[in-house]
Amino acid sequence: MNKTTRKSPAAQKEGGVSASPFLAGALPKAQKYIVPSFFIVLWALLAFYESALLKRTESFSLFLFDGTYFDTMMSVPAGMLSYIGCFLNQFFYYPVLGATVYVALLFVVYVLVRKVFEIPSACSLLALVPVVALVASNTQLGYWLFYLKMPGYYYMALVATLFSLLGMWAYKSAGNLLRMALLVVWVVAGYPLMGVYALVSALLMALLGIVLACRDKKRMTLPLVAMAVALLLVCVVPRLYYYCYALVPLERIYVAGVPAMQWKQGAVDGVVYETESVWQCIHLYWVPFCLLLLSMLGGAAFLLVRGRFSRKSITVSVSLLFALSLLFSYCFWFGNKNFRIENKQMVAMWNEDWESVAGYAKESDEPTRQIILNKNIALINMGKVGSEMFAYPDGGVLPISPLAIHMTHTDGSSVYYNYGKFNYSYRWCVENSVEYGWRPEYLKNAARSMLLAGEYRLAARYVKILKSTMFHGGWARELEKYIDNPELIAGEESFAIPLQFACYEDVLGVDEGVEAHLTSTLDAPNVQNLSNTKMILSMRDAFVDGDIKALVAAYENKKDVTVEFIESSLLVTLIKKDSKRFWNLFGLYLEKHLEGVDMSAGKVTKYLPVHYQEALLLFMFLDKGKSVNIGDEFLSTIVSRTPGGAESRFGNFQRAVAVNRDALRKKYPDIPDARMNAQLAALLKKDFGNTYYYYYFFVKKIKTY
Amino acid sequence: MRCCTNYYSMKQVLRYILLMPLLALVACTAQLPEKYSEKDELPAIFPEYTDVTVPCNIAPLTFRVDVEGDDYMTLLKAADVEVAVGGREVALSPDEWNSLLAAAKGGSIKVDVFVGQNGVWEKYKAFDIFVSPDEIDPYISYRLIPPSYVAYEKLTINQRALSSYDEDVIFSNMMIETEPAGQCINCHAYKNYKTDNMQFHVRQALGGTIFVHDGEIKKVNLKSDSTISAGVYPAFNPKYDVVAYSVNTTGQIFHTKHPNKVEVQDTLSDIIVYNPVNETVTNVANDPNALEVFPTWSPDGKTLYYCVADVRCEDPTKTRVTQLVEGYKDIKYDIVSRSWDPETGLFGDADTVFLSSAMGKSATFPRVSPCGRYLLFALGEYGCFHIWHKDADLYLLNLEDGSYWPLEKANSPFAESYHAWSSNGRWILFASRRMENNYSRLYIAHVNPDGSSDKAFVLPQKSAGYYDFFDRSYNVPEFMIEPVTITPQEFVEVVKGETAKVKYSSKIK
Repeated sequence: MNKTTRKSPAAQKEGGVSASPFLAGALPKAQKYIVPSFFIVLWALLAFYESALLKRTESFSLFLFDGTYFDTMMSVPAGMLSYIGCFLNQFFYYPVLGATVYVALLFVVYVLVRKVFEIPSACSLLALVPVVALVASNTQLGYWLFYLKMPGYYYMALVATLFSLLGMWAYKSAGNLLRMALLVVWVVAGYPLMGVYALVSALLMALLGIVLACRDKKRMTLPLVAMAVALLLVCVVPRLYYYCYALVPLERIYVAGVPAMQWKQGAVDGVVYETESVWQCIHLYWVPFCLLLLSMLGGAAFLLVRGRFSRKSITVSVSLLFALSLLFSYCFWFGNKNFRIENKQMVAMWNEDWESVAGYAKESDEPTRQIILNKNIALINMGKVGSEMFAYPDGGVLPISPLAIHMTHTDGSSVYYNYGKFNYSYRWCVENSVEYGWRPEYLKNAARSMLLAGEYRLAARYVKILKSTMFHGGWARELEKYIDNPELIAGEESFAIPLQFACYEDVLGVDEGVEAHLTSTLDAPNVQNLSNTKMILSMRDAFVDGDIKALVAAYENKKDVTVEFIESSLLVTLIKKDSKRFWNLFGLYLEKHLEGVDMSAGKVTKYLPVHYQEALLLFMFLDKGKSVNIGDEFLSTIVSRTPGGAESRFGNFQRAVAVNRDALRKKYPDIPDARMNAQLAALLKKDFGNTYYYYYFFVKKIKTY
Repeated sequence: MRCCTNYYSMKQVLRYILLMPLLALVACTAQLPEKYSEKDELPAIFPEYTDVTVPCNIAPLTFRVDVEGDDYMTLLKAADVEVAVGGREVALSPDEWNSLLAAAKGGSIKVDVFVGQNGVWEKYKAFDIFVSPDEIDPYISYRLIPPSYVAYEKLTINQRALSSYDEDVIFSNMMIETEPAGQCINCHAYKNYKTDNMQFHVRQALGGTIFVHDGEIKKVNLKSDSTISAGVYPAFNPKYDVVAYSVNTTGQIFHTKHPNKVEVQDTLSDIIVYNPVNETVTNVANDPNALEVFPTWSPDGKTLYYCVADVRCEDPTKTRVTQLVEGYKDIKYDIVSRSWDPETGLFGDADTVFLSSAMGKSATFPRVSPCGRYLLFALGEYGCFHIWHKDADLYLLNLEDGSYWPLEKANSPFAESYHAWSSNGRWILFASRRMENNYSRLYIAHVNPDGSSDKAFVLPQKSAGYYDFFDRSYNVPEFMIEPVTITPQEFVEVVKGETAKVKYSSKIK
């Protein structure tokens, strides 16, 4: 039997490449450091620079040691990859640990590539190409993370590549007959487990057989027969699988294991591309997978041609390929600042680190609405919303993605929870779980939402699942404490704010968007009226029925809007620049603000939070006394009128606008209004960028989603 | 609540892996404790199978003892048959279970649970599993659906053998396309519990009704110019070649706070009859001031029952939808019947069968027992979609004297609906959200000749923890006396194929 591991005459010289002063000198020496440096830098980037991303990646895939879970995973082709992927994905819970596992497996890929394709030390950089492709297939994702319908995606291609390389190694080492048997078993047993990866690797094995026969000048009959068998199996096995077992679309049987449908969905949605970005082109997402395939084909080709080229051409090729790989890595690393901020904010929110949540918002030049909503939630929790909310970058760009991103699909559930919309928070966990499978993040939001909604049995269900996970059990056990002892809920600090927001009566509705829903429902006067009406109707019914208990209950069950609810209503009003709603709310807010203040005790001051002072002054200015009349003395109670106070600052703003506008008009007499506003915004940002009136006049084109 | 972590689960898993051979050995050599104290309370078990009544041909009831302890022993006894099982999960082999069933037929299986902690054993109060001599139909089918509202991936219609855990997919919507070009599949139904005449609907992309008529499959678009939609809730006439459907315009709207979470409401609905031979549909009930829905036939095929709610949308300043949504709690359905003459195809006038609106209630989903004596329905406070109504319970109406009563032993404080009679009229199968008010599970209850029911039991599964993690709801369960033999792939071909269009006919031919 021919042993295919025998080295070719060329290879016998020096690691398969003709010895040369350069290859024997500088490049191998450099590679000795480049390869480990590559993995160390990659590890550091993932573990520290992308730690928030890794944590979120972990929260997007659920792994359970459970038979039903296993059966569900294995019911589709490539289910095993998903299963293993989900298992490994868990370690990203600790980014350093997760990055270590991930990079270690990438290193194994590197080693196997060198083994299988007999890449000598002098050309070891070549073996980094598939590694780069695998990394890029993940780092390119960005917002796709939310929309991937493949749990364990981060590891699927990596695990498949590992198995494929092991298969190819075994194939190389086997004799011809054993190779044939391996090929058959590989496709028949491998397709249900690895999907398209099993098919491609089978073809690669057959190709490897031909290459080796060619290189070693052996008879080509059996390798060609093996290729024919491989082609036949690749065509037939998925179809057999479809007719006998699988419940997948016929059209997908040849792409099972790669997220074809997601790419298609993006294209079908007809997304509006918002920015000039490499991410605009949906087809670019295939590039890393193509590069992975090409690198394997390249490896096979290398086996055939190595030793036949001059040292110069090899040096140039290897260096060029490595440089291109680094460039490729850079290009396919989704580094969008807002995406990174959103991830960091979410991780900070999990830790209730509200200072950081707000702090990260300052890193954005022009934030998404998600960043602003998160920041406002943090400020509400810190009691700073009225005094700081406009001191952060404002606006609202759409997320950069070829998909149409909807907040309900991303972090909407968390926003709803924090605003006491427990049913809607829960609803989007469930809706999204249908599309993308249950994820720890959904389970946590579902559990805590239902806990605060008083549905303890339902909360317990999700807690039970979380308790079965490797890293979320502690969180689940903590929540279980409240399920078992609901009386403790009121004393838990982190539940206080969401519960304060839940002071509304049940109504039927739909949500066209998270922020739109909050805007329409955070309406304190209306909510208070509904509650009063409900109480009156209940009391009337109880009175008619002569039911004293019901009469008392109706009165006691009446819900008063809380100060947090009123303040958030005010917040929404300011964001919407709605002066009418502001005046409707202002009285209600003042009532709470001045609670306990003895207004008859001469000159008292209890200033409003600074943004409310600014809004009050602005809306009074715009109203020009037509419908609102606030006495001067009372104004002094709630607005700072000292030098440097809100009133004088507003005066400064008005003057600055007038002066700069005149100057611009003088300089550019025909300047269009839009340009004028943009110029004024830029000029005034430094001094007034943290005021409400700056936001009112200069922050426009807010795009919520 | 801050994030915190632990490794206990992983440790536990490793411990289980290491202990597995030992546990298996213990299970094989189960021995009852010699010394124990008696506890005067029933053991907590999951699923809750204490004192339930099961048919003599049901699959083993696997359950888990939900009491903290180090060691567990369960003894199941019936006549001279005894089976002792060690471990927290009580899973019997088919042979063990069937020998217990055979011995207990007409009587009960006594179950003793022993729990040991720190070497001290306690014996809990024994409970019974009553075994009725009444057999149950060998198969059931149901739709598995995530308990979501608008997302509709991963829907399957499955069939399950009741004497084992064998389950097959009849059709899966994932075999065609996923969202956004995916389909909802629903409303499977059979004629006379057999599968040579059956149907289900495919909605959205490639939509139509997949209709099996005397073994031949076709796809039909049941929407005509004179009807408001394609067919929705179906009812095969058991004797004649016609199928009654409701046609509906349905919407969903969400509670911001109420535990019911969603209201599924019809804003328009009528009743039609489809003739699969002539490919015609005919309006049967289409009063614009009424919502008619949920048709069902009497066993002789000569009476059609359905639900009807009077609705008045008289405010010209608001749309019909707005008015119905605002007044959703005022929509109350009654049950009516109309005689049908198969010779002429004509229906008689509507007779009120159950005037629930007069009680301030809403009755839906009527199902006549195979003997024709009882009408089984769901009664709730309002509306038609009781599977989302926590207050909905099952009731029986005696069609002979008009008396009615709740099936107390079958009901729970949570939603019960989607009920069906077995072919012998001794069993009912229904969906209930009683486990945690979210996931509907299938329950089976024995119905006695006097119309009372015994305690219901949840559809048994191979693993006791199955329902802990299974994340889909069961709905529209139906009994069958034979399995569907058409493969999912064959159905796929039909779904992708030509769609026959029906014609409207003013008379049922």
